Amino acid sequence: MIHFIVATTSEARPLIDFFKLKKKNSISNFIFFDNDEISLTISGIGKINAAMSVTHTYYEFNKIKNNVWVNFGIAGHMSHSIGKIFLINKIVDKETNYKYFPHIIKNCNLAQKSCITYSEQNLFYNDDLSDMEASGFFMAADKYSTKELIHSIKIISDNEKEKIDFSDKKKIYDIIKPNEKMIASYIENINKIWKKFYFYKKTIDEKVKKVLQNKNLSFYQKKEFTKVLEYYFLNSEKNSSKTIDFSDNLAEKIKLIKRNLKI
Amino acid sequence: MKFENIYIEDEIKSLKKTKSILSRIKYKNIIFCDKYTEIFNPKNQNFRIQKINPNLILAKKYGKFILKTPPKFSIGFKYNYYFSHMLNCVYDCKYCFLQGMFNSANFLVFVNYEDFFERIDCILTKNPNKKICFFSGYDCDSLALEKITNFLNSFLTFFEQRKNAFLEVRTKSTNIEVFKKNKPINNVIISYSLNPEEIIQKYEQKTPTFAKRLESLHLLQSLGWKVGIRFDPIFVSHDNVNIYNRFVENIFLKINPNTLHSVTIGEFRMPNSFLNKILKIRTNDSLEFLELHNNKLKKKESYSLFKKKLRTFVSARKIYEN
Repeated sequence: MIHFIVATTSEARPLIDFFKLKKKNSISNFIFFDNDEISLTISGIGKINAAMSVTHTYYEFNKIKNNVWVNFGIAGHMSHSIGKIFLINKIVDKETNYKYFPHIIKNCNLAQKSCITYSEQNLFYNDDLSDMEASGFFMAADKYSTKELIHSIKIISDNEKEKIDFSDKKKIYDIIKPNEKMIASYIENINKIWKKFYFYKKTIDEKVKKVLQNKNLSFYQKKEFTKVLEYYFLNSEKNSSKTIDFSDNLAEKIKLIKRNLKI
Repeated sequence: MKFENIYIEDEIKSLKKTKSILSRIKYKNIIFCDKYTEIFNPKNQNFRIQKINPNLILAKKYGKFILKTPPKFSIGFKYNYYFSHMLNCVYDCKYCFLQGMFNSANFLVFVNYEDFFERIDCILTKNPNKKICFFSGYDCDSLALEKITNFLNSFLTFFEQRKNAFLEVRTKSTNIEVFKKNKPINNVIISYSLNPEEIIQKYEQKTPTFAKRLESLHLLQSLGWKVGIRFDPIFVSHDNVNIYNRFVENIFLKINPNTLHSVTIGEFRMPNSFLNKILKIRTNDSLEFLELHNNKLKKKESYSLFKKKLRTFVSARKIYEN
């Protein structure tokens, strides 16, 4: 699954429309939108909100590790023109000076730039993008996913010469809208990587969970059986070997698998 | 070679060496960092994903330049050290321990070669009458990125002037231009890791074929360079012992065993902590790895048969088991 973290509804609206996301009923203090493959969380402004929204999103969407996480929003820059889109390749937290380096995928279709995350609005423009969420987002997403699947995409909203009215929802919509296909294309490429490296893991986890549910096992048995079953399902998918009925005598079946797989 | 991003430590961005490396490669972006560890060391990175498009990191090494090899590791010298001007490899061998040792698959090149020279000289000065072997190619392939790093260009000149220091260049690369343009140096040993083509196809992804490696080895030997052969790791078994027999025969159709410096044999071996990490990131191959890990090849008949076959070509005093 792909999780978008976006500070405001105005910035999120073009993505909500493009990906046809629906508002999700939730008891959380954050607002979520989703469809089968994508979720979008309105985080609120600032790095603490961004970090908290990542955690809430993780728990709201079944605590699945190694999903794709994308922070999307507007940012300032010294000279780049309003509406220009960038993929962030270095995030610096202005307050702590802590740095994050997302791993950029091959043949990336987006221009890249570094971004400094400020605790309050920065009006002293420089050659890095200025935002208020990226460092908090990355720090939190890093707890739930591998670094290669965590990215931040920014669109220029202001520079030394001009800035948009941040309360003008239509204006924000208009600068984001022309970039939606580029965003979708980048997300699709990241999602391909996720499918290649993590989708099978999800299906195997589900199979293991199904076998072990309602079984009265000790902590160590559960740990060992999970490992053996993961090997079994991986191997059975590769060799399409005969499936085992796990409804009874689980310990015996596990022994049999260990013997057959020589583990 | 084309890189998406190059990471450069702030401290070395103005160095001539850094600029020279940059002039030899294609890249999209340069990203500056304080220390390479900010990119290379963090946990929670997926080595396999990064291996699709590794980036290049240029950095300065501090400390631990030259390390002692494990006690039994030798190609005939009593005193053995190893060093790594680079971490990670362009190839993608399934069995490679680097994927268990490092969190990142990015190529990390240390540009301060002069500090390596200084430490090697220091060891030589302390041991004036001893023959000391320095191994390169533990944590990378010594030759594969030569066009970018100019590593051997610098180190060959250095070793040529130090007669009691021996350099072993261990490689699978057929990029041997640097040796072709230099005269053979008596204290440099170029060692090729070899396996039958069937094993290369199975385990050694993105590496040159057996035929190409053998051709390079043959050429280097005919040019007068000292060469060695490394069967490390070998995957000989009851099922493929004939493949390994033909493989050995093919090698010595081209390679003169009399002028061969040394041959080493090693089984697949890996510390448990590395293996556990690889089992997680190479889940599809996990059962195979467990089987190899528990194999105890040296006790198998096929291993003895391989050694016996090898001894029909190479004197036993040149064969070392690691």
